[in-house]
Amino acid sequence: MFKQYFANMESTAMPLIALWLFLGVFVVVALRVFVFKTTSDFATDAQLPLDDGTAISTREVKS
Amino acid sequence: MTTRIERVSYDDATVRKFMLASIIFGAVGMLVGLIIALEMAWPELNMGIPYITFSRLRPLHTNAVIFAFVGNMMFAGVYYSSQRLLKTRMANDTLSAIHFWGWQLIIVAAAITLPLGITTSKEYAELEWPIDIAIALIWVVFAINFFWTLARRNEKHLYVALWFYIATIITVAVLHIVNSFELPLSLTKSYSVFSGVQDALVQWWYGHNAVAFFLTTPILGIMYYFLPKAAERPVYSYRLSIVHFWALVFMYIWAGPHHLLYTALPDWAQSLGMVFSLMLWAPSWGGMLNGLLTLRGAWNKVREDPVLKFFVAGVTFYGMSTFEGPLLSIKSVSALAHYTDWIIAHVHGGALGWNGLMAAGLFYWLAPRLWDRPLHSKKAADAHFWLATIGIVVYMVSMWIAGVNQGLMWRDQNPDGTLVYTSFVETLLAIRPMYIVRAIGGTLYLVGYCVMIWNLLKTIMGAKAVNTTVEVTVGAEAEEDKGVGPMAVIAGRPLWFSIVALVVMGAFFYVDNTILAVGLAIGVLVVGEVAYIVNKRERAGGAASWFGLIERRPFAFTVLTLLAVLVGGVVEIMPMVMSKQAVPTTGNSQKPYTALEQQGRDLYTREGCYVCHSQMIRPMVAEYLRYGEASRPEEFIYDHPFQWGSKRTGPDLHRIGGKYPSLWHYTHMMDPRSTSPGSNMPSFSWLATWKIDPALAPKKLALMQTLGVPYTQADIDSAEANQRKQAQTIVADLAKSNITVDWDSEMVAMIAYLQRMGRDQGVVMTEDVPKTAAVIGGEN
Repeated sequence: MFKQYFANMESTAMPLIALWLFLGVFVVVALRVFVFKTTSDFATDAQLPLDDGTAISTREVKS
Repeated sequence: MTTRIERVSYDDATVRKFMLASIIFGAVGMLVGLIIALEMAWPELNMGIPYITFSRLRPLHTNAVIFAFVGNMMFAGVYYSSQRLLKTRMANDTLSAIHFWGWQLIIVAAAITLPLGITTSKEYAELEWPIDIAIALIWVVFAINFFWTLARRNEKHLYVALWFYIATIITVAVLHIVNSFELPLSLTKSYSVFSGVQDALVQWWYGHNAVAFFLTTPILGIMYYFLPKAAERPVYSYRLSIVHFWALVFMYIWAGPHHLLYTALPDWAQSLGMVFSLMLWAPSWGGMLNGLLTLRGAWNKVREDPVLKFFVAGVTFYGMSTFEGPLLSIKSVSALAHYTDWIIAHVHGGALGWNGLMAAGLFYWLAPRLWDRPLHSKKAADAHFWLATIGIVVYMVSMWIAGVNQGLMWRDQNPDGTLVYTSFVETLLAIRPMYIVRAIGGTLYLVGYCVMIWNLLKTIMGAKAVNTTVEVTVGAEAEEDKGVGPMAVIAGRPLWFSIVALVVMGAFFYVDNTILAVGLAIGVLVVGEVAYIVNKRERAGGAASWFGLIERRPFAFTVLTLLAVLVGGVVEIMPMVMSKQAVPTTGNSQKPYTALEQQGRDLYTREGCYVCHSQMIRPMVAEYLRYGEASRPEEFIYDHPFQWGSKRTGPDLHRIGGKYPSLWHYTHMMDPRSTSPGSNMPSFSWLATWKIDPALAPKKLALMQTLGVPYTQADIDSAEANQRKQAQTIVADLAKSNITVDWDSEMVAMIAYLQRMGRDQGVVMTEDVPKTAAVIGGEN
């Protein structure tokens, strides 16, 4: 039945369905990232570029 | 949890070498770009020299900028940031050295072969098979060095920048290998194993994703490392970076067919490419916003710090380009913009804006640290910034105007349905001023780049190169990792839930029962809810997240990334390559090229005619009126490689066969403006004196036979004789107009190919075409 339903669907409806699906997922992700964000989960990971360790030396390269 | 202190000395020498190579080759690539921009406005600038003709230099320009400038810059960024993020030195100095010198040798080989016309003609993959093999080998060396370093790391977590590097390494390998499937004729000539539509799809799957995984993902990795460093604050949202990464690597690979809209590619593949291109806008802008929002509270630094200034502008251009890309992928927009200079504006927004400005930011960051001396002049860096920014804007605006203008002129029709601008040259003359303005924009950008070179030279001259040594705290394996083996990754609930959800969704579309369908839909929701609740409880109890497990396991991460990348390619390419029905093979009306036509076709690719002429008439009224019947997929079944082109600086040539007499083609190639006043095509006069190798004809036909072209043994055995016979027909025709050329001149072979194009009923004999010299001087 669904096979026939999709087979008889106007082809213009398919991209609209895809678009609504996409927008739905987009909105959920955006809400999760910007509104219901929790900072603790990945706080350590996010700090990684800022952790350079303790500089011992900047050794000159033999020319 | 126990920890220890470890001393690490980074390999900064390799970073320095890659950086300097990038700066040098960047200047070369941009200079070649400026030369060809000037040749577009003043075609005589090639001075009749084949090796500096536009169509041969254009691939040199693109290869130099992509693989020499951005490639070396990318390697510098990857080597610098990976060592620091992994808290370890690169695994093997010898591999690093092989990688560096091998890559430079490849660049030199490209710089020699491309002007010589040694090319496969596949855009951004023009290098011939021995160089292709060298690229694959050097890339493997890079991969081994990188993954070996991952295995030796002192930091368990793989920061997001490293994910982008992983995706780059594996995807570029896949793209390069598949698109380089070719059969060699000699050391300097090969033929793609794919033909026509399949070849076009594979090429643009590669071409689009070369942009994605060579020009975008590694630079995003660099952004995620260097932007927080320069801003001295963590990335705005690490969670967003996770979404950004997975969405981008999954979606990008599907978008290749947007380069082939309204072509003979099956419509389903075109639509798929368009939809995924539109969806790409979201992750791309997610990444851009993540970069820009990292500067929240630090915008005052942008005013002072040249590094941040370039990064912010680079990321902004990334946002503009990734908005424009999906826009251009909409079929109705593509109908106007494709083949025009609008596309040139788009790619230079990405190349000059995103890649070029990010590279400058990176160099300004690296030089003071790698030579332990402050940047010589911030004012000079500011001058570079404004010259570059204004240069890009001038370049892009001029090309936007030229593109839209020409696109509209091509399709403009009178009330009676005829074309308003019947001559292609009319549309070219209208945009010529924009070509001059474009060259001015490019000059500004190059001057800014030279200011940067001067500034960096002043910074490092007399300074001592330094390698950094640090003490890092190395944590023992995290408590949450103890006892967690590879099975925990495979048995992870999110993975299985995703698989179950996909299966159920697939079943939903195929079941014939309403109740069952509703049940399946509810089932997905219930399983999702249960998975969410269980996961939340476990996390509250201190358990590690599944993604936390993945991002600490390079092998699992790489496998998942490869799967995400491969899905799109497999779904789009396999049906086209495997299915016999994908492209009709109406062999009764389609004949293979004759030996002479094949020789001429090889000259067509050698000279890079595809750079300015398409061979693809789109199914539109204006194109029908200007060029003739729309191109059909079966017309290209013997085209190894395809020659559809991607830009129309000159008119489409698919149905040029038989449109003009051979005399017209001879005169046109000797002096284009004598037949087409106002044309900016360079002269190809050397074709009249250079000779083909007649002995190659049977070898070429035999190789084509191996590739599936239905030549008989008799065709191969008589190739040389037939070639001469057909050539003499053309020579005799030209002799009637007092033109003397040798039968084995390249000109004759080229004319034979041009006269055959689009005439799928077989060989075009010169008697079939109008012979009146009155045609000469008419529009083309």
